[in-house]
Amino acid sequence: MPDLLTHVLVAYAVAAVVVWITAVPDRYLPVALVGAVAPDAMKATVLLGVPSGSAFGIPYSFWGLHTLGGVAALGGIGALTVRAADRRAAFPALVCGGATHLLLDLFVIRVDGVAPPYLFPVSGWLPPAGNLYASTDAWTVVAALAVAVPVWAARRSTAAGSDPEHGRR
Amino acid sequence: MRRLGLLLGLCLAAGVLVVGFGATFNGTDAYPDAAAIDADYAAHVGETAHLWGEVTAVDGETVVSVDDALSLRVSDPPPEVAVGDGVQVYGTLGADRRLETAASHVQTPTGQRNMYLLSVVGIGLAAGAFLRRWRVDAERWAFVPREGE
Repeated sequence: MPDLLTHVLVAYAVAAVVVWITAVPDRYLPVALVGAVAPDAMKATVLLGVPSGSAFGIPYSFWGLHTLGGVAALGGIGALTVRAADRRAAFPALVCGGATHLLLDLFVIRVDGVAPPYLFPVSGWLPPAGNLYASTDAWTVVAALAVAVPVWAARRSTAAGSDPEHGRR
Repeated sequence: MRRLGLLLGLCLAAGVLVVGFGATFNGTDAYPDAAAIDADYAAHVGETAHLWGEVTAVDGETVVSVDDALSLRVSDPPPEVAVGDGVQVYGTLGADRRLETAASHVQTPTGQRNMYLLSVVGIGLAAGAFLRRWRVDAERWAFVPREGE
């Protein structure tokens, strides 16, 4: 994975465009940012040294949450934390954010040339790794800022010029 | 009650994903099992392995340790590697606990620390942006849009 700041900034740019070209209310933009962070919730198990193994003879791997299925499950759980009227829109916002996360992770350097099975459980396919950057490369933040800051500035100027609620819908 | 039922169902689905992924990929090339290789190294000689570990020695030959379980000498270490660096290595398991390295990549402790710091900033940014537009409604046990939404 790139660092989570890169993930959040890229998700911001993508979600801002979606909000701009669709009727999705602006308040769901930060929901997508939370979705972009969600797949890495399992990294807590990496820090604890128990990302995978077996317990009581049952194999497990929390990397299963760092997949399309994990994004959907975590998105569903996240959507249930908002009021009923917002759940149907919050779910795709969370999934959209999570999808940008997995997409960016496809390009992390893996010396075997193979990325993890991000489509699990739909497919166990191991896609080719993009090998563009390492998790520790700081330039990815600079690149993400170069995209996100102009988007943020454009949103501010548009909102300030349109209505006193700064574009809130 | 419906909400609680959905929540339990989704948590169960997450659990199924965790177990299903482990059953499918633990011990494969995608997620090699260092402990299994260590437990019966001779049985794995000649196999291809992709391991993520830490450099524990660079005197003479570079040694990479994985999860405190497996310790391997690597045939073609990355240049300028130092003890404490994180490293991913790909190659063939040779005799005498030596990996014939085909490719490798190093992450310094400083780079890893910066990654974690930037990630904390990212989590703070996402949480801050969310809480700026949403608040907790204690009666409904749910996030609701702030006033005017």
